[in-house]
Amino acid sequence: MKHSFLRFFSKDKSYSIIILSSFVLLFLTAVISPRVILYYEKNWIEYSDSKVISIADEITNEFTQRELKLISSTNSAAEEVSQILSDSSRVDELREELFNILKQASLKGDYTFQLYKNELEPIAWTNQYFEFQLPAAFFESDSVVFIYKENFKTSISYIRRISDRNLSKYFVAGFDDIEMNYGLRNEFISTETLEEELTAKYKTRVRTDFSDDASESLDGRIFSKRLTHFNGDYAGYLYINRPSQLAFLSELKEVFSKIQQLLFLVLLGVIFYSFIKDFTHIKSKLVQSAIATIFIWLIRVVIFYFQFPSEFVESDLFNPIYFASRFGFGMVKSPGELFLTASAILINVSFLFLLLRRWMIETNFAKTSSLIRILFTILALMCIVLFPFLLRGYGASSRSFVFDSSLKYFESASILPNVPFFLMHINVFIASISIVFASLIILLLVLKAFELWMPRSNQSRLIFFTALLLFFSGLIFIFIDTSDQYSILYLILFVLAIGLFIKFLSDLPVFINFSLVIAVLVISSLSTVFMLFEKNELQEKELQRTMTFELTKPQDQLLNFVLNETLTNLSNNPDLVYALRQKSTTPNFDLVSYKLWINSLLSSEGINSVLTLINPYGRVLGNFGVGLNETDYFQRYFDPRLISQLTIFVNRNQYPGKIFGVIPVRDENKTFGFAAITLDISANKYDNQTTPKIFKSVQSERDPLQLLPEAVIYSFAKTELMRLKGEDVPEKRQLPEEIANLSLQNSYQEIWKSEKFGNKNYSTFYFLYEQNGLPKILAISSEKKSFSWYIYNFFRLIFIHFLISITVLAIISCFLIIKGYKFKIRFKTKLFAGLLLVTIIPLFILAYYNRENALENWNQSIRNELRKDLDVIEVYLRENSKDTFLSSQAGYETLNKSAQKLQLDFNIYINDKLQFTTQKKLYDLNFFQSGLDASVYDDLFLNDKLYSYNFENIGNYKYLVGYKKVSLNEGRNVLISSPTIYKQEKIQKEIAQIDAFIFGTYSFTLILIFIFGSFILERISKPITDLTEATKKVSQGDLKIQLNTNETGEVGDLIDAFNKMISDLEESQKNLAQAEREYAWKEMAKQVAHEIKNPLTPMKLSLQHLQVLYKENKKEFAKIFGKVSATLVEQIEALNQITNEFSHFARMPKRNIQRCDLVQIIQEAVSLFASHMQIKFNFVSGEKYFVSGDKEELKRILINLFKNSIQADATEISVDLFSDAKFNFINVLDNGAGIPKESLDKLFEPNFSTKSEGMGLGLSIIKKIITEMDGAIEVESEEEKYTLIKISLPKDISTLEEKNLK
Amino acid sequence: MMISQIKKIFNFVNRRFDILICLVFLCLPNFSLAQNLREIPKSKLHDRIIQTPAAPVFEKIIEGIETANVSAFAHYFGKQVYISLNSGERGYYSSNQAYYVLQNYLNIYKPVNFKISTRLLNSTTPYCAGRLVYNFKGVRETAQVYISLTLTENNWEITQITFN
Repeated sequence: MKHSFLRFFSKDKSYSIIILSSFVLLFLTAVISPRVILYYEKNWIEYSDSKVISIADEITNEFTQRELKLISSTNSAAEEVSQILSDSSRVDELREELFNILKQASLKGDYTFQLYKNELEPIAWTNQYFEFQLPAAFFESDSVVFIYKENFKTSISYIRRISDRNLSKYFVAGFDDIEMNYGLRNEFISTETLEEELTAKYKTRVRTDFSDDASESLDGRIFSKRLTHFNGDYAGYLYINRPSQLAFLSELKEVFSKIQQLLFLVLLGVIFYSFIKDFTHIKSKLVQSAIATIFIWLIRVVIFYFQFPSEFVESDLFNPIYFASRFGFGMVKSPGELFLTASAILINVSFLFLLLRRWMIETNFAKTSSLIRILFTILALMCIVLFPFLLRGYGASSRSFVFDSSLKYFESASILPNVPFFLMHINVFIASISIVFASLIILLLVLKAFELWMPRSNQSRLIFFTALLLFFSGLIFIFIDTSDQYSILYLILFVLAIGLFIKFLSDLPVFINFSLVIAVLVISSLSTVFMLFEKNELQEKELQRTMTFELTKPQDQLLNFVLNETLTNLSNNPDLVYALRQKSTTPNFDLVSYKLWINSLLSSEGINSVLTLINPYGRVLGNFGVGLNETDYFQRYFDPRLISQLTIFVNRNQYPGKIFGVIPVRDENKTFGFAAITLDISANKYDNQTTPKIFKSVQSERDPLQLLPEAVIYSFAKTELMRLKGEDVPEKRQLPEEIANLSLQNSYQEIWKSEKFGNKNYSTFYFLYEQNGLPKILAISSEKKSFSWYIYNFFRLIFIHFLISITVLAIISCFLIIKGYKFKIRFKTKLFAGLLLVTIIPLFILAYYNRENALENWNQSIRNELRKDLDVIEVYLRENSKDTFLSSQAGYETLNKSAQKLQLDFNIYINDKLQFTTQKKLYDLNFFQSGLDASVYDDLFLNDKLYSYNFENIGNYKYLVGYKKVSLNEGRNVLISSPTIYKQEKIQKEIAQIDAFIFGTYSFTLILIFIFGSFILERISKPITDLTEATKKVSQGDLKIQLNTNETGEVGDLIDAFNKMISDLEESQKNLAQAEREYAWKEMAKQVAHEIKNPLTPMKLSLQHLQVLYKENKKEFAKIFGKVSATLVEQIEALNQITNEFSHFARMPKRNIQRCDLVQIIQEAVSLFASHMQIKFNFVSGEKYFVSGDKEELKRILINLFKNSIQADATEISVDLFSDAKFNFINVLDNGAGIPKESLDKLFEPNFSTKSEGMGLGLSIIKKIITEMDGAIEVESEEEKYTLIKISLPKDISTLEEKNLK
Repeated sequence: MMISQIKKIFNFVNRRFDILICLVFLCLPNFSLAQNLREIPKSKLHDRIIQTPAAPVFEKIIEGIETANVSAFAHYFGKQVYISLNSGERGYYSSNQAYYVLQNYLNIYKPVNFKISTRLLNSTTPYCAGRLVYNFKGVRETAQVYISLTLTENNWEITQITFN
């Protein structure tokens, strides 16, 4: 490892630079950070001074810029108005145009404009009209800028008189809202106050005070600056807390620490990356898997240790409110951490699976020893035992995903309501994929153990038995283990799916491809859906129990606590003291009550209550509350003389179920008034509160009813029904007999029962308990999920998994493309993609159109409903209105009672002025604006419509308001309006149901397209696929193939033509082969005859000479005889060699095609020449290279080449072995005599030789063999220097059919 | 003849063994979604309150909050805990979530001092309330704290924690 590390750096400079830079930066931060901190400690005062001054300058600049922009827009609006109003007598005719001018001007900067004539006559406006008091300075000049403050709004305001003398009574007022302060923070409204916004931005408390009597702060810790308008006039004061030195330095240390952690992580990442290349050289799969596992978890632990990225990035993804579990020492404490851990598990397990698969494909298990078999058996037994634990772990994880998360996987109709929700779905999916891979590993190992002991058995049968074994293992575990983490049904389906997958895997020729990946994703997706359904059902049951316990829990302690704490806090509340001390100006005490109530425990605990403020003499100054109608107690019965401290009392006769508390509000021992609270302690928690959620100041209040909003609740005292909450359920119902007959022997009992109300099935939780000595029963029924619910959510989850899978596959594909991988996209896949494109696009367009249509129809139905409400109000008013009903207190009370009777909220306007509202409190507080919206005024007054509908908003909360012009008795014309704000939750639910229906329908259609499309395209593409396969076989030499088809048309013609072509090809190949053979034999015969003649001639001559000598009885006969014998022997030897070569060339031995290790072959060939002292062989083996061929043939090739080199007087032969994606390459280089250039082209021809001996057939035989293996051979040479033979052979030839040489 | 019949049956079963096994486990019932009628009688609550005092539990909670160490009392969390924090987190959380939500809160709003002002122990739902002084970004602030317990199977469980 060390050598590779150093070698790595010497090779790759970019990584060296990164590593060195990281080290240097780490060192620098370690050295610099203490110095920086010391610097700030020493110069803190100067720094904090300059900081607050720069913050103040920045804020004042921004303030001035906003003012100038508003002024500019207002001026240009005024100019345009002036041009339109050149003839002031036509104002009424031009009103619509004036409205448009202001509307266009407001869009430039989200401003509000109003056009007035004189002070009291509004001509045109934008948004909702509101009245405001002109500042005194305006009467002395043509324009004035000021700060306009009302209860819930603070604005920069600019008023500009129209410059034309004739129009000088007209003026335009522009407003730029600085702050919308409803005091509410909930799921609908999340507006920050200006103070919160600035404090968050500058990380120190920043406060503004725009009141007239604001002054510089005397607190040395606070820096104050006078805010002025652009013209230097007083606007207010800015207060900035000097930053805390401790907080600043802590933050600075944290920043440095994070930088160092980041650098360290970068360093670790680079070092890890450098080891990856070494990793691939490790031969042992076991070692590879161990190292990979260690590395993956090392990285995960290090990332967790450094709290990366949760401490670096502020995000909801790392917020435990969405999900948290204590498993894994905190490595799954948020959705983000869970994602990292789950990804590590997935990478680990999938890597192990791929390694195992590769190992199983590459290893020849035919000759395994008994010891290996026994080891495998032990391993298999361990796997069988491990399998149920694996499923248990998966079940426990799934349960945690549901129970330890506040996300409701099936509640929201929106597919992906927020990012944490999506991430949790990814996490659950990843966990399922990991389990699938882990189960596959187990199944493969157990199956292999079976195969080793029963190698001749049918594989399908073995897979079946393996699956059965695992199933029984899981089944036994279910009966032993009491935790019920997975069900029998799940076990059956899962084992079945995995078993089928293994069967599919065993037929797969390669160790991985996209089909495998998709199959894993499909099984994982189905597994996830099943588990989530199961766990969700369990969770709902648990929520029913929790809801019951919460609803039956005595609330008296909590209410006492809330009452005491709230009153105690109010007794010396500075804002309250200030308001009560005011003498010159009378504050709006309803507003003060509202602000106090909103910020108290009364609001956050969701308690029906009213907060009342009383002066020292007992007069009620104002109040605000929610959920209570009786607010007059303190007006009637309160006596301040009796109260000197916190006092709690009840009045059971007059106000049953209510509790009252009062406390004096004091400052410097003087009482300035009283704060009083009325609490509703009656047990009517089952009723929905009268005020909608929008008015609550909590994100999710403590309301047990929200745990299961659709639950039906029955409350019984003994057997008598007391209360009911729920829709579409019988109002009168009896207790089931078996429940009614139970007596409360113990403190409480829990009973589950399935019931039916109407057409719906419910699961009911009965809770028998005692309250105040009386036996009571609370029954909470939750509707059982219908088939359509399952179908909808099934498709929704599948769709989410599809999105995740498609994203991941796309990323992997991009990565592979960058690496140079060439995708083979099948014809069927292209057809399928085309079909999908053609169908999905119109489907989405249709779905979108349908949705818009459905929403439009639904909008229309809401408007119709509003219209009916308005008509009902109109009828009621006509029948019951009197002269004074809008001008007397009695009249208002009558109207209020009407509203209660009609159960409708409404407003009445005369002209465009609000005269009556059922929500008087909220209008008095200016929570709602009393003026008409510009578009409504335009519809009803300028365009003379009868009805108008307008969307109005509070923060992000939009609701529809309907308006209608009404003629009452005695010719009085009024305008009535009715809002949907109180029905908005129901409306949102209906919109969600429309979305759910459309999504479900179109998803189902999409699935049908997938299924039928696959089926049809399979049929269409099958002939092409068959044709492709047949063509491949033809290229490999199989000319006997003929395709059968019933196809007609072009495809049928193509197949027929193909069949004919193959037949003709076979025929011509036969003829060609025959002709070639004849030619070859002729040539061979010629050569052989020629070669045989050569030695025959000297043989004949020698024998003839011998005959002569013998006849003549010459003395030299003996001497000549020896020579002649020698010659004859030599020539016979030559003839023998010729015949050997000939037979070798002619004969085609039967080939033994197998997977050949080239390294081994080369080593064996080299070893044959080991005794040859003059030759030095250079061969370094590293990786393994495999080809498909005859091992002995390949060895003979190499032997032949080495012999040629030796014969060319080489003293050194180097063999180099390497490969690319498709081929293995063998280069044999020698330093022999070389080959002349003119001979290079003929080298592979039969009978060509540069040697003095030999037939010249060796290289032609070698070429023939290599060509038949689909390889190639080339030669490079330089005389007297070297010869290089380059052979290339295809990698991993899976099939190389025998070719019979004929 | 009897023996030959038995042999035939045996051979039949042997040949069809795998099919039979399939039929057997496909017919196995699914127990996962069944509803149960279940009575769970409990002992008298009052007796249990006396036997299991709540005071030590509150002591551990107080100590845990003061030292910003939720582990000290995390094992008292019920299955569902209502948590309400002045940082905005509010809702019913599982015991696992409650641990991290509170721990994160106390890591940011570092406790300086925690004093109990009200305590009610002899009740079916005992509670304690007090004031927490904490340090938030260098600024010292206070919050009202309310903690309530419920007795479940002889063990006290935290059902509500409020930092307001």
